[in-house]
Amino acid sequence: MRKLILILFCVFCVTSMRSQVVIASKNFPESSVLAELIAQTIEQNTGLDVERKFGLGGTLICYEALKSGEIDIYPEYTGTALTAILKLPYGGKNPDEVLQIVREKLKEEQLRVAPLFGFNNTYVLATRPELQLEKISDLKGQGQLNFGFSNEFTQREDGFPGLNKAYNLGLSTPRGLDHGLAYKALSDGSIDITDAYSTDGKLSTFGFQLLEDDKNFFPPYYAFPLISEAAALRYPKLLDALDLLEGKLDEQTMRELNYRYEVSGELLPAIAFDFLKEKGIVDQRPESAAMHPIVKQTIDHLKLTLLATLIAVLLAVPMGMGIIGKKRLANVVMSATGAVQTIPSLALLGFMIPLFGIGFLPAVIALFLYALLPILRNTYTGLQETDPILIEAGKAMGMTKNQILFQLRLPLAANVIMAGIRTALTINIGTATLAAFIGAGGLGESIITGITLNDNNLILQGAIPAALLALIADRLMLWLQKSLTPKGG
Amino acid sequence: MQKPYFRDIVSAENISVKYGDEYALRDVSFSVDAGETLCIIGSSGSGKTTLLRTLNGLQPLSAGQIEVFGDRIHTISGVQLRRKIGYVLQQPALFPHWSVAKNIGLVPRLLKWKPEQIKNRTRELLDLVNLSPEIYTKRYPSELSGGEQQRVGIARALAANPDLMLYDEPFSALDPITRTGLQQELLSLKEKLRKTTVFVTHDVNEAFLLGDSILILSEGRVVQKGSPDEIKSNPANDYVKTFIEGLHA
Repeated sequence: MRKLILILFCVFCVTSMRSQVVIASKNFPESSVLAELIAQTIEQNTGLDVERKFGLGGTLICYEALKSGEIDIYPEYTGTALTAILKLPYGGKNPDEVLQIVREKLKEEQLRVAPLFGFNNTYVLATRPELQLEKISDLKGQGQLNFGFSNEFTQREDGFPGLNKAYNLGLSTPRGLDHGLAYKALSDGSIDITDAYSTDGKLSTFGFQLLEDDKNFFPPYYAFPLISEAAALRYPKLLDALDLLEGKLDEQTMRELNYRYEVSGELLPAIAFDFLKEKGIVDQRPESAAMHPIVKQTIDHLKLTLLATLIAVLLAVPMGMGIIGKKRLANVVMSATGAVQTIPSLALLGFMIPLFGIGFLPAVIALFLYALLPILRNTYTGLQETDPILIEAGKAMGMTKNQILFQLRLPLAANVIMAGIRTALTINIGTATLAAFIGAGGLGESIITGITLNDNNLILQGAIPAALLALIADRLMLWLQKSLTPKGG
Repeated sequence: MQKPYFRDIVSAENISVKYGDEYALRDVSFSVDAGETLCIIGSSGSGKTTLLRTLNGLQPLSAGQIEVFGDRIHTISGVQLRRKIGYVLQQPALFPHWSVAKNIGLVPRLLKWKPEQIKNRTRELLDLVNLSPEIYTKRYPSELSGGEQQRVGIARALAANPDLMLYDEPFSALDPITRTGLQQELLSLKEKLRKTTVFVTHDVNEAFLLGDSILILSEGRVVQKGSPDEIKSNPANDYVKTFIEGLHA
């Protein structure tokens, strides 16, 4: 048992120590496509090792992770950086002005804006070509057109109301409809115009006319790799590699890549390689990911849960031993760990972010807190419930308090304590799937990506191994529990 | 400081034990000579077990004092004292996760005997309590009958060759046939070992069979003490008489 723990610990240390460039993406498909493009470009043009943390989280999680050094690069958008990160108003600035502000302000945060990819993923209005509209100003006075905007777009100030005012279109608020139905409705003529994201992969299958935003009403969302100054200084080659991607993607190309990923369900490495090969940026097909993503996720998952449970055992068992016979202290300690247990897991993970940032550490801490109660409770109960006659006998034979604890109470409670550890471990394997939300990896990555892509296969690819892990862990612990239980006890 | 010469292994002077306002023992005095077996009889609730537990320091006194091996207990380490006193409990209370040999070897281990010495002593003790070492050393308590368990309990108490043995109704949980057998064996052990012994029982026949002297307790007080013959011929009161009437012819 001790050897096993030692080996696991060594594996953990070795795998965690390799120095690499860490590339992350946000939790939506296009961000992952861009991140994979960045990753392969760096791998094949710098010789550096790349670790991928795709689907890390929303904008702020990625941004915080970058600032804390947890990750080195992720793809960001100018408009998002301006309004969501820097919290500055857009105010109709032109794209160059926006880029200028973003570049300067982020520099103050020790972050560097690499050259733009080229495309602008902003709101667009889509219409059918036969309606012969080219730019948004053409809509002026076209009250007879059948507008069908998504519910959100009809409400947002940077959506229809603002647009109506800025272009002085003089239209009345149109009806809202579910965005999922809009493209079909537009193509069969039920509506004449709708809102869309300019690089939406699904747009590329319909031959829609996209209207030019000739008054720059929509904020520009030009994508670029955002890199930490520290990484740029440590590996100067990174910047040269990122220069290779400058201006390589227009909206149409990005739509096609998104389509291949989201709709055709092709694998990221292949999509990125085809594109980069064509552009002459890479020439080697990436080693079909040295490890299958599920294998890597499983290993990460095990690292998270085993480490968290191990720390919990190392703390909770001695703690349980320390509080026997101290009823008041025991009550306080048990209520405290019990209270932790009542915090919903997602919330607990969330609380970790301001304290410990994102990634492996906060996830381990959260899982550790969860594991504490079952182990502590079982240790305490197991030790407390030693037959009083045996303790009397131990005392009468001249055993000291510690001898009674270690030679009688502890071995006699081994069964109950192991059952607690077993519960903790199985719970943790399940809860750890949520750790992907704060960028700790594990099988939750597949599940979360699957949910954002609405891809049941991907969800199952994460869920089934997680369930199997839990079952196997449960069986193994049961076996261990039996073999550790003293023969007569 | 030179220790005074002592003939008594145990002497109790006016000891009292109070639980709250209730006296479990009140003004009890007695002594046990070296090699003597004292049997304490009383009905349940008379304070017998409490009395026995005062002798190895497990039960603190409310008043009075006890000397064991010439030392006032509570002035010396209870743990060290108990390693010199054999104790046999009512239920054998063998440690279920330890083999018979490991149970018997407990006190010698606590006293840091050499493993070889412990092994030899364990065999010797199993022979003494009529359990074949070949069969029993490796067994676990749950694999033994009640009688066998109590033999092991006695062997465990005798293991480090203590100068004082305390028995707390050791045979009360056994069936009559086993009990009679063990009583006879204990009697022959007594002849063989001549250990100073305090033996608590509610069985008057057992007391008269094993005791060199008898102490009768009622409601925490000593009703009568003396040799079996003295008590038989001269019962102090009706309580004692009812006990005597229980004697087999």
